[in-house]
Amino acid sequence: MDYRKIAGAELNLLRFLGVLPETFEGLRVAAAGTPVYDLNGEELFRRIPLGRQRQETPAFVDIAVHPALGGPLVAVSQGIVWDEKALLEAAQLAARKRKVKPYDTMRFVAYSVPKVAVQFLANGQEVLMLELLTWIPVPPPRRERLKDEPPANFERWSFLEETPRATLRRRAKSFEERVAQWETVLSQRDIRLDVISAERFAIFVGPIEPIQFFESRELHYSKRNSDHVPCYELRGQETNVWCVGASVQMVLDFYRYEYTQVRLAQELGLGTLANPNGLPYSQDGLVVTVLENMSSQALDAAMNTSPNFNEFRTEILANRPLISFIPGHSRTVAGYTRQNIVLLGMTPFRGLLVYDPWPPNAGVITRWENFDTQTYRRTFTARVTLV
Amino acid sequence: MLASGLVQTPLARGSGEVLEPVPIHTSDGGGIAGWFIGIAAAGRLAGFLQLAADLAFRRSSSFQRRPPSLEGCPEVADWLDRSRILDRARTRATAGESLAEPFLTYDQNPDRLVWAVGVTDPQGRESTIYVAGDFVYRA
Repeated sequence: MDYRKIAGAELNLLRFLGVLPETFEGLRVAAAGTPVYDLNGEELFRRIPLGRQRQETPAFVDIAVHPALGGPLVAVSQGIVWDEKALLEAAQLAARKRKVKPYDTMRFVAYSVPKVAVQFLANGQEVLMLELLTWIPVPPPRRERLKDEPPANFERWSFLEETPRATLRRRAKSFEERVAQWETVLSQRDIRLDVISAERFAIFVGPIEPIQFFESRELHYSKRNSDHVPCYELRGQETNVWCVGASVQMVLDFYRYEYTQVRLAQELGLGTLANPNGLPYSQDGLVVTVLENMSSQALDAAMNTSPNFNEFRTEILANRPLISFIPGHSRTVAGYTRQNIVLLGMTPFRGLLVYDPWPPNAGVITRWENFDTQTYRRTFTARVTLV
Repeated sequence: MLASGLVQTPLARGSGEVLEPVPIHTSDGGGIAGWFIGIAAAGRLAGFLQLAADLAFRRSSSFQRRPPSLEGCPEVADWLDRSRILDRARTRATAGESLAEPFLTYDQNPDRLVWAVGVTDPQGRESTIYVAGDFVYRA
């Protein structure tokens, strides 16, 4: 793998997508970079400085070497000049002040990913480790932590040894796929990618333009985006078990059927404010009944027991909110976004705009919920049948 | 992250303060189920990021009804000051009950974030009080 080339490709793509700001325009991926190791000694990533000719620029990129990091691009940082030589000299100076024992090797180590330190070794054994820039000694390993206990703020831990094996395998697969995609794309056309240039990258992807990178839609008064602003309101649930009541309230409010949550709770069999209860699993279908009854059958409601992203998208495009049941909770969905970066076969991000009645009496608007990390149990749709 | 525009920011693009991540524990208080990262502005909790235990992005949520207004957003302390959370839990405790240290967890679903406060009554019976912002209830 040519780290410099992969770094250039990733950075150009991010700049092209507008994720990286204009300040990155024209920066050059300077050199092969500095190896940064895991505590177990394996190389984790290369830290590659970014700069302009004859000009020091405070930016660098971390490109994965070890597949367990999940993808070639680990991080892009601004604000610090990455000067390996100067940093090693500063580390040596700090070590001398601490009367370090004789050593034969110095290397950069991610002692707590992404925190980096300089490790001093003698015959392969550590004699000192100083945190980068603060030059404070990183404490030696403490006793074994409890299962799932996170490391403390200033504690060393091995990314490769402590990450669960299944996670490492999953990330490695993702890494290999991404690298293979880049290698395929880059082998097809000759392009200089060591300098970041949105314009040049646009030419590179030219044949498949116009490409729509994101497709998003939120509820409006009408389907004309230019005429109206989004029109949907959040309702907090009034007890800890009235998420369904609040969800039904939000959908009915959208159609201008204004009921109190107490009234809807009564219809849904959710008890009273003083003695509330949730909707039992076996009573899910009651949501359909209440949506229809409380709109005097003007709404035709339906329940879907196997929700999928296309259903959410179709309903939102039709300007209709949905109620979404997830295990133990209910919310409404009022928008979606979908990343369509088909250029490199990357997994697209799919997100939902969720009006969540939790916490009680407040609620939150979630923009966005990662569709691929959530479990969807039911959806309820409602469409106007009478006008 | 705020500057990138990937996450909705409280006041203007790139504004707001990203707070220290707080672990979201499993309901027994043992394992880590995810991470809560508050986004604050002017002492208010404008929103938060929620990551899964493996740091996968789960959601980005906002308390703001009409950005950039912070009206209705809870105070940061409502969600992150353990002593205030404990004070809130005390309002639901009865005489003689002792309260344990609160920990951030969830009620039934990871999207229903709460602070759990263990309660022990004089007879040694244990129960839990949940605190979600200014809403307090018994489990």
